[in-house]
Amino acid sequence: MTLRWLPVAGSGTPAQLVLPVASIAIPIVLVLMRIVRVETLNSLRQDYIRTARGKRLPAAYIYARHVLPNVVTAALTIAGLIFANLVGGALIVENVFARVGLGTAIVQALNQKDYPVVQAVVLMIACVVVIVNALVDVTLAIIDPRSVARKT
Amino acid sequence: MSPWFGFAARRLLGLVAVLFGLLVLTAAMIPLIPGDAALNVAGPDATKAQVDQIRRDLGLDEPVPQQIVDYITRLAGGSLGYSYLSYSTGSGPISARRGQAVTDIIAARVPNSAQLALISLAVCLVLGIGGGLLFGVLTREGRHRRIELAFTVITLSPSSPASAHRYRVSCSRRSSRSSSR
Repeated sequence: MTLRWLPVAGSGTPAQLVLPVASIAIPIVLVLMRIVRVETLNSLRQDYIRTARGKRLPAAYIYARHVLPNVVTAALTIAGLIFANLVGGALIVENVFARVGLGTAIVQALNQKDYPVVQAVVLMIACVVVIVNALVDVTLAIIDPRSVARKT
Repeated sequence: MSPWFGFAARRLLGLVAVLFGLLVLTAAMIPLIPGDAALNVAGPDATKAQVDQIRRDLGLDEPVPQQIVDYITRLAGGSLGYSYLSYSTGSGPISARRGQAVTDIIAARVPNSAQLALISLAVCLVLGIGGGLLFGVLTREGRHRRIELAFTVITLSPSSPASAHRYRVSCSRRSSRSSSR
């Protein structure tokens, strides 16, 4: 069965991004959605939500202003952990969809025993993961300053 | 202000320590990979003299700590080294015979990978947080039980058998609790 809706391989046009992004994002989105839903349910049980409802604030305002910030901290913590998976997944997905990228570079280099290229790609990816984790920590501290005060 | 200063100092120190460990480990990669890298480059029918020359040219004859130091100093100068593929043996200075610079090989590929990773990350965060919030609000305090069931089944489908098992256990526990009620 062929639908011919989207290009399967290559890199360059936006349409060629749809399938790779989908194959990376779908599992992560689903895991993240479960965590965020539970956090939302927890947050909706809190007293400040009852207070906000008691003040007759519009429902959309309550969800955006009182629930979302409390949910984002948990989501970001998990997303930081998942990001390493995302990078590893991106390397494989690039090979599956024949994209010109670091993932195809490292596989080619490994096959040809071209170690300096392997070394460089590993170093870059590891640096990105480390830096992203540091950024997540800082973002969490800005969103939720209690986490800074607690550790000191 | 003071907790922020301590926080920044701790984070920065940790980041530097991790990056340093990372550098040493990646630098040690080539000497630590099983097999002789010089023999791989030389191929099956190279002479002993050629293998020795390759080992000297690629810096593989140095002790491992020296190779690590060399790698880090080269990196500080902005070079990621040179590919083994287009390297050639023979006479003449090494600068004329060494392979393509790794930075050149990688530079063309980084934007593609960065694009894929960033777009995926954005999609994950927006759909994950937005969807979770939406279904959390829809199913609050036990509303829309059918939607909750559909949500659970769909979001569990790509995950491991272990979590599906946990879900089945929690379901059976829930049904036994409701039957006793």
